[in-house]
Amino acid sequence: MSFLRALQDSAFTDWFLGSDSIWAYPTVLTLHTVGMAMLVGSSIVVHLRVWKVGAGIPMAQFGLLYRIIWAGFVINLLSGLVLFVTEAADRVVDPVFYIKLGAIFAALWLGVVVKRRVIDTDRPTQPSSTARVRSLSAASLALWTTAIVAGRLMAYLKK
Amino acid sequence: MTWLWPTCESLHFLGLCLLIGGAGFLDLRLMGFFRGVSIRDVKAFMPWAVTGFSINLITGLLFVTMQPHLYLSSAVWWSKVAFLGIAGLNAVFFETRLSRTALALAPDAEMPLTLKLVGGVSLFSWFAVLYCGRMLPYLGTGN
Repeated sequence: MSFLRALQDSAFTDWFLGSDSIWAYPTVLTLHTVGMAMLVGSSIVVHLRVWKVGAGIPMAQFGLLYRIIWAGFVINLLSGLVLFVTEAADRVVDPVFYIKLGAIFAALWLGVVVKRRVIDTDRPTQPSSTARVRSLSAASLALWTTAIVAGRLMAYLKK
Repeated sequence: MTWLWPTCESLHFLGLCLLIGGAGFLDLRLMGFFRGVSIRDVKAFMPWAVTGFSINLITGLLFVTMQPHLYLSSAVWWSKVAFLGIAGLNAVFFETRLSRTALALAPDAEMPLTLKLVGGVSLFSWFAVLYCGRMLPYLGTGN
């Protein structure tokens, strides 16, 4: 805890949050939003396809969407780490932060399960139509919604 | 009413993901990615992108109504509106002039340069809209 407090009170944090430079906090925050658009936007397309939107598209064609999903995730993991460091002591005791993290990892995990079930083994007989996979996709979309709402709320729960 | 602003912001972020997810997929297809996927199938995602856009238009208008001075005096907000205009005109141009050509293409055909450009302009404009929106509190406000 004292380590997290030291991070939050560090010279880096002072510069990051106090600087007039748009390259500090504003740019990292914007990167976090760009990453979200890539990560959640592409996930929405994958899961809508499981629900038969654009049903003619072979899901084996979605490799690039998953690469965009992972690129968005890496951008948000790195930008998120920087944002966390500057609020470390406050966030580590913030239940909304844990809800957000839990929702993200569960949503990603379900995305991987869906990929294994329907993309890596794509068959013309629409394996994506199984009720079980559809419910996994719906759950993943609900979790992404939870993560976004929790992330937005965190901005209001700042001291 | 303290819940209204955060609720609208959450909706604005969700709408953003629907819009950039759906429209970005078509943009990338027009740019030549996802070769083998028919444009008609990709266009099936457009109602979802339009839903996202509508959510963001409504919540965005609410933001401007609630704090007009914050937005109308901001050059960054007007840049955002300009990029929205470019994205919108580009989409209208595609729908009215190029959609038929695009739908007639074989799924594995080489994408014509015009369609690649229209896809690129769209993708760039939507991310520029996002950039201006997110940077709005920090750019050019003197703080």
